Amino acid sequence: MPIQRLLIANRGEIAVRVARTAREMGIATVAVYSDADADAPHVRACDTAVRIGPAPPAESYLAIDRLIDAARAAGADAVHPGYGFLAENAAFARAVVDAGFVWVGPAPEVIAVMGDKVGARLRMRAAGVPVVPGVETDDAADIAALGFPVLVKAAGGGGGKGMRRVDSLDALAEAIVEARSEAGTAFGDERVYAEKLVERPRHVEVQVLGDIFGTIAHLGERECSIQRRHQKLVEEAPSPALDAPTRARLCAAAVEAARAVAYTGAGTVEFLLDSDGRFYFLEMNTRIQVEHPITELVTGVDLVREQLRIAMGEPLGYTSVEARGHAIECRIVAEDPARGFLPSPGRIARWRAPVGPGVRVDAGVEEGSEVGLYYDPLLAKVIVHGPDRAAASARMARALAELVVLGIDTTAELLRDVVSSEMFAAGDTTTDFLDRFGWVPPDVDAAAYAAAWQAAPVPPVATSAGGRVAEATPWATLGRWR
Amino acid sequence: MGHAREVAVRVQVGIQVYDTASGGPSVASRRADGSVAVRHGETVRTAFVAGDQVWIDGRVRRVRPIAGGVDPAALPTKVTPPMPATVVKVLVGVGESVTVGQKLVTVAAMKMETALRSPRAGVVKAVNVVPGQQVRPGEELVVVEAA
Repeated sequence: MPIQRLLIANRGEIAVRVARTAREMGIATVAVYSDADADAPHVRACDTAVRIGPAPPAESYLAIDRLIDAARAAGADAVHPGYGFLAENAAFARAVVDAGFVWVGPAPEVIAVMGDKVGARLRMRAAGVPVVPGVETDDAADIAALGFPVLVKAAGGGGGKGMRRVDSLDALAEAIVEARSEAGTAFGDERVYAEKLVERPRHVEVQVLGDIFGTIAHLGERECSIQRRHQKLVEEAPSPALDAPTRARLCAAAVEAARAVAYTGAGTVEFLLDSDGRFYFLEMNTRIQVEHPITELVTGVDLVREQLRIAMGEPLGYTSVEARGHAIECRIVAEDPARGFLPSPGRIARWRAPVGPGVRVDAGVEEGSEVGLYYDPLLAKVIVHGPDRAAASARMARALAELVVLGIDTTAELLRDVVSSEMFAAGDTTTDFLDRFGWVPPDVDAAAYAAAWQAAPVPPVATSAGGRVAEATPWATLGRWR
Repeated sequence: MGHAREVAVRVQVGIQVYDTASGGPSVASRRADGSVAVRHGETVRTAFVAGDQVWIDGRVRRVRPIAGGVDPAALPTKVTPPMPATVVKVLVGVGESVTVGQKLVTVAAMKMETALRSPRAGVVKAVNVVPGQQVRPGEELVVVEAA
């Protein structure tokens, strides 16, 4: 069934990215926006746009009824959820299907199965996919029998919420109570379970695609170990930590995981890889992943195009794709890494994206954009491709040195130093990388900074009471130049 | 041009302190796109400036005057938090004389405390907050005017 008009139930860079491929495929696009996003890049990237509510996500991007109404009003015949927001919400997928739209994603039942972390563990173990040793209960005696340290985790969702590391029996009872409470708040589901802690693991994941004819393909792995607060900042493909036999077994396990739930669409099977090269199923993300572009660059496959083709009932036509070269993605996030990743909302006074050979930028902002506190702080992704890992690292360092973001603080300079570091070059990328890296902004050529600052136009001084503070951009003071 | 900032000045660049009078060889000129070309011997680099932020080669540093030598009229008069935060302490009162860099207010966000310092020497004209108050960037917490 062809898709004529696609509603993109998301915002920011992923909405822009989905709209681009849809346009290439001749599919009309419908953006949705909250009052905070009326003039956002994703709105202009689509053919038409529908307002769905005020800025708070619960009243806009998370409001299932409003999104369904918007799809009806715009005459859409399909809905792409992007990532985040409702992308892994089985009730939303069900509502989309029940309203007669094509859902660009796996079946609602599959989303529900994989969204239940305990259910997914049991399903994977039954399918012969290795899972982290653990118990699907919050019984203290059973958990203690695993041997410490352990991780107590929420059954209802991920992202580090409801998760507690426990090093001894003394701390276990309290950790279970805390984790249950946090999980209840975050996911409306107090159930917790426990896994034996894998020390200094790597986070490696496999991209899979499944069509409605039962064909499951894998597109190789991505390594996403460099994280802060359990959220990824740097991803690369392939992983520097896998040898060919381990890679083959990992990808085969991911295909088995997808096959076990008759997976359709694009999905990602996440694994922990320990220092001995053993890997364990962590969870499956039933959506397009933030870091999907690195797979696109090494395989040449447009994953959003594949999502849409699969949703239209087309056969995949392959079961694996050969990867070429090396790709790296750096997430440009509105946080200050020099101050513990403090949120840095504000107006983007200057924005200039890097260009040149092998560089792709997926951005949801532009010069003048307001970065608020309502939504995810991800501004853009800088993605590079090179013939090998060293060349890709050098290309990323070059690209990040070209990226101009002023007005707010971002992760760009930290990540430029990460990809230029000996630790990164050595492939020493475990999940505690940033703690060990211990970045502080290096000294600079102060003379050049002072000279530039002195030469720039004087920012207007705010005086009027209650008036809007003038922005200190060169444009605002253009008239004072001569 | 009679530019207020084209006089010798001691500035803080990130955490470094630099005297522009100390013979820095860099010469800068403005370009049509709003950027600044910085010439240092044979090397020319592009800089972008927005407020107190200066970008060169992917590294952004805040440049702030920390001593005299600047046209006082060009200095900001208001003190505003860099991020949404809660006021912890108010350290000055209306009418009090303050020096450049003096702590005026401390704020906390996500368990981190930050001191907001006076951008200029002068007299406290207004204190618009009390401890415990939620504040956002752009809000004038304290106003300091020339004595």
